Amino acid sequence: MMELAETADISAAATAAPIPDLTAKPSWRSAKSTIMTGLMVASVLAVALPLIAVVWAVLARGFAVAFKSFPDFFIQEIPTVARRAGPGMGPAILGTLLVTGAATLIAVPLGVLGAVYLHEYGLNNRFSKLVRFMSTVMSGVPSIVMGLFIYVLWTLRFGYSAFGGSLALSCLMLPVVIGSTEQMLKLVPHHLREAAYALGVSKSRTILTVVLPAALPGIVSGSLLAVARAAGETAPLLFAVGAANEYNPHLFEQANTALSIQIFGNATSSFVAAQDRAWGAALTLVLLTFVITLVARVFTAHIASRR
Amino acid sequence: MLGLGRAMGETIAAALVIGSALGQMTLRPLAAGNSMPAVIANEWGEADDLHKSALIALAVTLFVITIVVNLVATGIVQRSMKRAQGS
Repeated sequence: MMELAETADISAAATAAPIPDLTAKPSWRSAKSTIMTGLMVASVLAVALPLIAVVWAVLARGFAVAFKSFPDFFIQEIPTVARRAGPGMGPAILGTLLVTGAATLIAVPLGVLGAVYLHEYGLNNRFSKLVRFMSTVMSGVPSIVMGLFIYVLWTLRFGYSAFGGSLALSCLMLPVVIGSTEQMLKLVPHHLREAAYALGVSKSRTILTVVLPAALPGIVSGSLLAVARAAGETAPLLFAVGAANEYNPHLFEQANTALSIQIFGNATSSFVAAQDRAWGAALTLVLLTFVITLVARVFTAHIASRR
Repeated sequence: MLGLGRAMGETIAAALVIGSALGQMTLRPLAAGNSMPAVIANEWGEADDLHKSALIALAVTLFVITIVVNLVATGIVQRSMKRAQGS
């Protein structure tokens, strides 16, 4: 009897007391929170606006030139008379593909093997620390200095060629590939390696058959991003590749050209027709970079989802 | 600060818009000026041997400055990491 009366008293007391109001009251703290949110939104807009503006400008001015009569712009030769209006950036596209392709063939195997050594074999010895430090330094070297380095070492001796340009580009790509591959190798869980060792597999075979396939999507996407960056580099190519105007499918002989060189040369020209071609070439380069990045993302997502 | 190092070496964007002013040193940010990579890119085409050597010397100067900036940045990062781990 006494407990029932007490619980009745307690529940009566609970319903009698006012429920506290938990809605936010306007105060200085909530106002500060709103201000900070507004500032962050403004910062995001400030960063996104230049990107949108650049893409819009390139699309608006390059679309008419590049897609007027569809394959013409990408196949025809660059007019030797710069004043003449009309299409043609074919040699530049071939040059960019040649130079970037050869640079990838040099930089990606070297970078992946270097990162495998840095992570698997020489984990913290002095040589690895030196190589990592040098890689960091090399990633901060300005591209024009790299171009002049290749000029002094290669072009003065062997003349202009597409291969000199790919040497310069591979020097620029190498630190990026090493860094991203090492990050990916660190992400491979160690128990995979230990399981392979427990089965009696030698270290090199473990790396080849267990570690590298596990890290492959990250390595591929990192390398593709390095390729996308290298495709747009202009300054190193100015000193190593030269500026030819015809198709030159040879890697080692004679001056070649590239999209970035053509953009620079035509943009500073005084003829409107040449400037239009520069806009078209800029659109082509943006599309090329976009396609490479897209392939990298799709590849990563596809392999990740399959696992 | 790695971005700062990369921006200091930015060649073509600066070469197109910086104005290539020769001779006068000015602190006004809106006046036509020059930058080391822009000078190298713009004057390379018409340079004779001595001029080319001078431009390469300018590139060495740019290289040294960028290396110093990167070393300072790496030092700062390592010191802050050490402080975060030590305490």
